[in-house]
Amino acid sequence: MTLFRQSATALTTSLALLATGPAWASELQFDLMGRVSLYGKRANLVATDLVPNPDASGYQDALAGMSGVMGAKLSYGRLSLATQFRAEARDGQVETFTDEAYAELLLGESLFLFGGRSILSYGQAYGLNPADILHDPLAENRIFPSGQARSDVEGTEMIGADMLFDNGSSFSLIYAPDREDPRLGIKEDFAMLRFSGLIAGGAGDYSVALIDGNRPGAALSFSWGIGDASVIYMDAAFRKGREKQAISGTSPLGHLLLETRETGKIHPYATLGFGYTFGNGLSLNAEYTRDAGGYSDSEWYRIVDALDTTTPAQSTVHGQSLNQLNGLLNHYTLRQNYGFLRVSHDNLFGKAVSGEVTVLHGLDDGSGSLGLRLEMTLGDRATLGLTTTHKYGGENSEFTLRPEGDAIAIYTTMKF
Amino acid sequence: MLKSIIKPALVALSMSVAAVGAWAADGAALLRKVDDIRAPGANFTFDLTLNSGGKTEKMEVSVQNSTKGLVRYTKPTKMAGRSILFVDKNMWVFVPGTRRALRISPQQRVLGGVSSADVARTVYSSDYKVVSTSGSGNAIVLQLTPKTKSAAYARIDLTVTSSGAPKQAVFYAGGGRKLKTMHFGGYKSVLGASRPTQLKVVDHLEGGKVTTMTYSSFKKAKTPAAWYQPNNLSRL
Repeated sequence: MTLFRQSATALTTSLALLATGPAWASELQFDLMGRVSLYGKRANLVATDLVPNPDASGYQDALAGMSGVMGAKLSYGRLSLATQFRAEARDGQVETFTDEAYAELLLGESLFLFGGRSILSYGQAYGLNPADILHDPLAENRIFPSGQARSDVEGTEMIGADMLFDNGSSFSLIYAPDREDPRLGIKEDFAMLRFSGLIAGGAGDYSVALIDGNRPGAALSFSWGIGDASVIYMDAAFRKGREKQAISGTSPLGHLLLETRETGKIHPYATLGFGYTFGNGLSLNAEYTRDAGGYSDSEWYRIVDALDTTTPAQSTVHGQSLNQLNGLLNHYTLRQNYGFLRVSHDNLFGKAVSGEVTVLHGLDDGSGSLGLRLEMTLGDRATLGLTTTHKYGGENSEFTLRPEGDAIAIYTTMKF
Repeated sequence: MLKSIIKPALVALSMSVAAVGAWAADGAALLRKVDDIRAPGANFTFDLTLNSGGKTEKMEVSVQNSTKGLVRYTKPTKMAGRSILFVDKNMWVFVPGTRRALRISPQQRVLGGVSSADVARTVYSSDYKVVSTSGSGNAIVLQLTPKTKSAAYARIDLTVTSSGAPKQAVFYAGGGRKLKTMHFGGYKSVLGASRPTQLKVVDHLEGGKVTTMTYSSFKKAKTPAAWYQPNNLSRL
């Protein structure tokens, strides 16, 4: 960590002294963006071993809400200031968030220094994206399309620098002290040094990132265009330690005993993908994901055994164990192998209607989630959307652990 | 006897080869003229409006060194901030909400029958070569095939006048399937030359649906190199 901190300081100081060049924005510029979304959702709730009483656990079979986002960017000379504020209203309660608030300074033609709260995203994968290191997928409101949900999250407080080169390559360094890891629930001094480049003579690009923090390691992204209609890509992370904790047994009192997070071992997490665009505009993405940090079959059987033992909760210990299990299983995915398929079209039936079908299928237990989204453009600023989700799988399989089964939602979004 | 047959045959063959070579050379020169008419230089900017089925999209396009193109959506409001970047054989789309540039193929649609490559690529000679020339006068047909596999089309039949003004382009997929026909019109004096400012694209895969591309506000301008960086699209 000290090395990263010293490198960041040395890099920014030396480049600041060296850099000269014309400013991009010679006059004061102010850009304002706003978006308001309304949504309603109905879900079929089913009591499960993990959540025997969905109502008491906060699950709702009917939900209505509003989301408002306002973004502003002020630029003058080499300096720009950007913010994104968000308000979420749901069932009469309003929460506000400052998703972004950062300052950025341009030095020379292509060196950017920035500091504050910022949302950064990495990788190419559409389903499970191991390279999107700073993102918590559980924070997204998936009623909305990914092009909206991914940015309606709280950013990370950091300082950093981006150096862009004329040949298409770039260096990026970020340092996020006291970043809270949402899954491990502990703070860390996070740093990442990243190099991105184009593959000379081909239609390819890659990124390599070195990561320091609670789970040090590396991330890698690669994408390559084949012919006029195909793309292959890979996003991977090789980090020490494990996000998930397995059950090793039970205490004499009946509490669950957990294994360590294997902090010295690297757990590869990788997605391989293929994209194809048909002549009629239909796009297809197929991905395979392997997460070595996910639960193996034997670890999963222990979880299912624990669920069978603790449900129905007949004692305080059972209740505590069930809470433990809920905490353990609070991850976007739990197992090791997944297939993901996305089929989309931006102009269905020649109309201003886009459609998307997605399937995230767990290859370890055959459970999964099937989603359909239709979105219609209304005038210059608005969209009206419909999304449905169907979860399938056997009892206590990954995608049927939680009460929410089939769900349907409608939403409308207006931008200004 | 044999000599009297072989000699004229060889002469005829060499003349044919020379003629084919000359046609190809003429075709290449004509294609360069087409590109000079479509693109007013290596570095320039213009505005583009797409209309299809009552839907309108507006964008600002910047071209650098003929090989890099940046398309920034300005309308409709719900698409403002979206951009498409073309660098040599690479193409990415940036959707503000995703916060990342995603690689796409040149076939990816923008609106109606118009693909990303149709919008971001303003010259043919970077991606295609002339393999045959036919016709004469104001209806010379250049048959173009890709120089690389990443080109958007397997074949283009480009009809031009003797001065290189493009009139029509027919685009084909790999199996010889006719994809679309582009009609060049609206010729106006722009930056010292008569250039087409309106293209009608007929999509043969969508029952002849027509998309209109209208070009305006051409300017010769050199834009910052950092604009043509996938990692920088979020700042534009």
